[in-house]
Amino acid sequence: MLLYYGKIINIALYYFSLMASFPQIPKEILMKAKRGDIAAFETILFAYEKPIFNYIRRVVGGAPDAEDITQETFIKFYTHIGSLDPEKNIKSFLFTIATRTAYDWLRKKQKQPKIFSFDDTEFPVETIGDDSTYYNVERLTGLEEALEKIKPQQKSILMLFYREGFSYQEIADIFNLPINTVKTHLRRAKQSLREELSSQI
Amino acid sequence: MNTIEKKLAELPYQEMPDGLHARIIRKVIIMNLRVPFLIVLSLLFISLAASSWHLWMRLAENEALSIFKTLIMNLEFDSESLISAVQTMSEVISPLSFLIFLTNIALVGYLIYIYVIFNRMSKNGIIFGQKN
Repeated sequence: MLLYYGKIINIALYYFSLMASFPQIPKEILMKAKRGDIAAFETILFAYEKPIFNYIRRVVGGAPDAEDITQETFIKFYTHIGSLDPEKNIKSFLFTIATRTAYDWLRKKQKQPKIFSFDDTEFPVETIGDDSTYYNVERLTGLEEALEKIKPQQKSILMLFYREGFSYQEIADIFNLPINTVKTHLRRAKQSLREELSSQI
Repeated sequence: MNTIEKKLAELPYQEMPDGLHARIIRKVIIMNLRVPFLIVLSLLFISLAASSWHLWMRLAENEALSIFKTLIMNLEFDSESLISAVQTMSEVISPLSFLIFLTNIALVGYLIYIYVIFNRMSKNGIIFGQKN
């Protein structure tokens, strides 16, 4: 019974921490930012610059390049904020811009446009349950190292779902994919990560 | 939630690099200044065009070119002759009109110069700190 309640509290604290990471931007601030108010834009910048920078840093695999991409993301956000529907989620809007800007940068750098296709037949779809033999390797350190080695789109989807707390629907909107496809890619991404972690043993 | 998912959720955030926040705000402020700058430049161009047209009309009306030619050919470099030449020229073109014309040229030229230098500096990452 005690373990059960402990688990409930852990889950509640986890979701609370997610909510705390992204303070709700008051609508009037958003409306002012839409009219070009720099102070309002800066309020939004303060709220989201760290998560955006860290998300981009993990996707592109380096802080120096992440700085330029973060700057470009927020400039694009400022330029296009006029088209943002105030009823819609500003967090999704920002992360959509960040994802596309990071992918554009990676495409230019690597000159392989197809590398960012989600059509990936390399990893067969498997269902990995909690009692899988892979479970034990999750306790090892080197998670960030393993993250560096998987594909950028897999990193993105893992970061967006687990670290940033986006729902399947929100991720589907960001990548313009059906929800079931997002679930499949998330499963594949976790599998890739587990395989990288197990190769570190 | 299993361990790997928990660890992903708890991945630490690195601190923002020094100056990145300021660079973003600076770029936004300068983006906002671009339109007023171009409006001022356009108004100065209009002013320059108007003062040029005014001068040209004055020169054409009074056959000023032939007057100036005569003045220059008969010019002697003593103070009386020079003062007389200046007075004759000022009857054709008012000094104020000429001054406005020169000021407009100087302002337009200077603003174009600033714009070109600024664009070059921002491309080289000097203003916004971009790394190439």
